[in-house]
Amino acid sequence: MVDAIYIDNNRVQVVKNSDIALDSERPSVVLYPDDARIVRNGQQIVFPSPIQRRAYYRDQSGTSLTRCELWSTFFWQEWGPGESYHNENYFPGNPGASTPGPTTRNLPSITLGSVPAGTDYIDVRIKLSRTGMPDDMFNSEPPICMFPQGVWITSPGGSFPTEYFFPLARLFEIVLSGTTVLLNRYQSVANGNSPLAPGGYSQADININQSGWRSDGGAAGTNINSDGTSSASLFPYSNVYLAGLIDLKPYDTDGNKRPNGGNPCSGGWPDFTSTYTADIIVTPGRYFPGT
Amino acid sequence: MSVRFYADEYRCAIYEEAPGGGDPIDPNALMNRPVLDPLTWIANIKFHSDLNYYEIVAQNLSIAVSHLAVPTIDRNAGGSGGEAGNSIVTLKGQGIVRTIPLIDHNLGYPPKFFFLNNNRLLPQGMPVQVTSGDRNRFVSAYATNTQIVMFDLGWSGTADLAAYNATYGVIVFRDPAKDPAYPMLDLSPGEAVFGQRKFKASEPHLRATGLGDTLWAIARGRTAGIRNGGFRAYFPGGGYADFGPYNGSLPAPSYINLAAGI
Repeated sequence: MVDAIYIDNNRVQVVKNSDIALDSERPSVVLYPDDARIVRNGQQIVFPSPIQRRAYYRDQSGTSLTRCELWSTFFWQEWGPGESYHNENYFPGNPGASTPGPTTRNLPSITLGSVPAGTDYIDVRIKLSRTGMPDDMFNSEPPICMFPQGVWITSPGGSFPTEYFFPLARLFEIVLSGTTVLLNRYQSVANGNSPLAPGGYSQADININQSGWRSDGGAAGTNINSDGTSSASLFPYSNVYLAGLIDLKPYDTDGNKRPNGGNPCSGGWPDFTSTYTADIIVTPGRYFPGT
Repeated sequence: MSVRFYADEYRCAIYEEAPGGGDPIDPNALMNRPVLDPLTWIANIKFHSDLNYYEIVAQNLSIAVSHLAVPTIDRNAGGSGGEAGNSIVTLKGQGIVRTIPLIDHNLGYPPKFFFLNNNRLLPQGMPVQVTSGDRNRFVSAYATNTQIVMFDLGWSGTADLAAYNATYGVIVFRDPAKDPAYPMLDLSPGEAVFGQRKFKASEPHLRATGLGDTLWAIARGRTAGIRNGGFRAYFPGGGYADFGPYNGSLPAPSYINLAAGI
């Protein structure tokens, strides 16, 4: 039952079951007509593969059994809208000449569209699926997506934490900037900031007859990051997080598995690019029109 | 200026009249410009049938959920095998996703909805359980043609992620199309319908709050950020959680209070 309708004194009220169902002085959150919506079907949301380096493990058992593992590693990086191009450098023998991290890369904002002037609220509905799967991290699995795929979701405030697999975090957001709706992507890799090899081990000189890790690639020609930049001056900082297994060779007597030996572990870079394909509906509106 | 109520066969509006005067029953009068052009005159609009609203059709604000524990495991990440058959690289813990139905709506389409905890609207991937050792639980929600369902992602670490009990809320909104079966204005006894069901008293709108209302809060800005390989997420009840080595400076979002008379 509607209990009462009041239209007087510059105010309209509808009272239902002793509660306010409509009140011109408590206006409703309003969404603009459908022709003001921004609809993007098949929108690509791409998180590039972070820049990688190499770490090499070599072990010898007894006089002849040897094995090796070659890993890609992650170092301190921040990617996002407006990040300048910057490469971290660290020279242990000359800290004054070092360039502090993190390594940064720009991920430009994606403009989804514009909304009418006066908009101060957007309703964001999105249905997306990961259509480009990153390679397994830690030889185990790709980063788990933090929200359900293939169904309609929303997010008040516009933030969508997307993937987390330490030391990598990814997030996108859909936000209002003036009358423009932007899709921003961010990805970040933690700062190891340690001279130690993976696992906290000391760096070993595995080009000679030692066992252990090198986190600078371990052999001539391998101090090149996955994006082609040099990693030589970064050694040994920011390089302790293993990312993906590139190659392994188990214990056997089949050749010299030092990084400069006759049968080393080798291989290309894993690809941690993650691509989502999304259907997006952004409906502009106002929190409280008429106030 | 006066607040006016206007209805004809095309539209229904409650608005503060525009300057310029004129005949109140003439839609082309200067004072009635908000009736014909509500977006331009949005600051004058209290209700307009050309606009859309969050019309509440179902809600449950006390949904008790028992989240299951996530056991820790060791994963041999390297796989080459040492002398004892073990890699020197071991990954601790695992992530497990579970889905939990929250409410049936049976609307036949995936509707708009809000997902609440502690009377604040939850964004996606919200950490509701954060414990030491990188053991975290993140929740999201999604809509199907018949239900609103929770997506529960729990991560164990070097130890189990414990079971966890929490209470959630869901509010479901009808798609706000005009229904030609209804008149533009109906003030018959026991009912109030404006704008061919754009407003119906039994299914009120999400609206601004006043005295005596139950409040829900919605974030007006970013609720999560990443830096240094970690996240910061603002809790719907205030405060924030950092997981991983987050070292950024994401500011707290402001919140705005909403209510609905049900």
